[in-house]
Amino acid sequence: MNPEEIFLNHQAFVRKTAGALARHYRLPDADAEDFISAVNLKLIADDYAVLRKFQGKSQVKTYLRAVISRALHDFRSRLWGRWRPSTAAERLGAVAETLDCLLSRDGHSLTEAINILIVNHKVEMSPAELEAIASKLPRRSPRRFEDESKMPDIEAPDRADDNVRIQEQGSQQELAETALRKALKQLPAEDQVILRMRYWDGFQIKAIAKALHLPPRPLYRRVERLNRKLRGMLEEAGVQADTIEGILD
Amino acid sequence: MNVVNNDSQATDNCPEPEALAALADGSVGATERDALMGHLADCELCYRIFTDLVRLQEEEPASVRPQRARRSQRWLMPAALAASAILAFALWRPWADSLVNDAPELPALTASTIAQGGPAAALGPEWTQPPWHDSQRGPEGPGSLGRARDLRLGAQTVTLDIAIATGDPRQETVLRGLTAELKGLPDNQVILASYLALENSWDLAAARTAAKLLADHPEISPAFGLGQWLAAGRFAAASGAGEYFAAPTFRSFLEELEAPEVSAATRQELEGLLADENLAAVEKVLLSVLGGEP
Repeated sequence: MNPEEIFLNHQAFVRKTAGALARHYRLPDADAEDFISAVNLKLIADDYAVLRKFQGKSQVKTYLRAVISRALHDFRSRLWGRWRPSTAAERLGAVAETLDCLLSRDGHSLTEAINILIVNHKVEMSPAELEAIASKLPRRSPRRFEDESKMPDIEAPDRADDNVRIQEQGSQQELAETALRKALKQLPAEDQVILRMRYWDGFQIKAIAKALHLPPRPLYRRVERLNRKLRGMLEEAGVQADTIEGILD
Repeated sequence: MNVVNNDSQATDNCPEPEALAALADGSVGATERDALMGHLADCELCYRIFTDLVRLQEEEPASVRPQRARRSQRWLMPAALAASAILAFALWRPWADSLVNDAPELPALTASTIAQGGPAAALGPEWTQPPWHDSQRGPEGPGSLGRARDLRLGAQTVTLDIAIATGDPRQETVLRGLTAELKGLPDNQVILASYLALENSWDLAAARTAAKLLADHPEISPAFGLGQWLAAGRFAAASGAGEYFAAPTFRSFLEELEAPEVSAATRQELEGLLADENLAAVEKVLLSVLGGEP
């Protein structure tokens, strides 16, 4: 197939893949449509330059997915501008990243951010669950709490010391993140990738084995061993047990 | 988590997407795998791309669907049609340019144009319907009636092309209309067989090969190219690409037709209609002049 045929024969696939990634990374509907259009334009730009690069080292569909994924991250970077999510937010996933963006880049109050996540980004989590995520994010700028009367649709945090509590949790989380980074760097590259996939991105061990083309059974034992090792390193660094549990549960 | 830097932009050290795709497919050697794994541990962007690949692969059904099933699936994607039609048309242009040397380029596609539904939306839900209705068809045969038929055939090949490219469910209807027309063409076995084979593949390349076979048929007149140009013009008009009609292409088609019945006055009338992008009126006049019944 020539590049034009690749594009034309994969139109539906491209749209489906771009849509799936947009949903996963919680792009609002309007941004998702813009992203899908941007992907199509990227593929046909400069006489299909991206597709002409394809050398057949992988399946066409896998290649398209990689191209679309990179386009998604470029698209998000453009949306974010110079701002980047915290490492904690990255570890906690797309919802946490968006929440981090709303709080620390856009300066929304926690209540506003939760409202935006639920309404605009169609996040199907309760305000309490989102508040729990927020508590794990570093406090890069002061967050405001709205008067509940201004946001009648959202159940606001109901404790007066929420600010203090979240700040304390955030500090502990930052300590844990630093320790985690140091600990991970001491491990072989493949072990780092395995741990991230398992505990950061929540992949099942069977899925990790398939993705990395490793035999599944030994991988279970390997992950258990790595878990123990990482736990020990974090304890040595003074990270509290409940924080470690939050990371490696 | 980002171990090295917090910038999600690709760096010079980042592997090409194909290398990450090959890693996900398990088609890299041990040395390259080690290098890629080392990079994934250090690069947030590439790690994200890799895990996106894994996630997307997990979501894909385990078995490859048969071709017939994919065809059925296309009936379920009307929402994608409007946006993809304009893309398909723009993609069709280079191919059309090989037929029409001096055809103008269409304006660049923009996200907003696509978001608004593109020309397919402007053409309405029956965009695949050929601009010539049964009431306008005369008996088939050589001479002037053949040219009217060729005009229709040319338009139908483009309409079919776009219908296949966009996965429009009406592609089967368009194909049936085209093959019905072809039955009146002498020595049509190879061409007809090519089009009928499309029902099993819906392969765009196959459709274009069949269209080329048809264009090369000794009895097909230059009116065929004119029909293609007019069908594409429907999309150009709907997408606001006025320069499509300003180019000398249409005039050169008329000259190629060597149609003495197209008088200077008619040509002037046609030019005026084209300036107004009134494709329906242009088609009506042409069919009248070339032997169809307007």
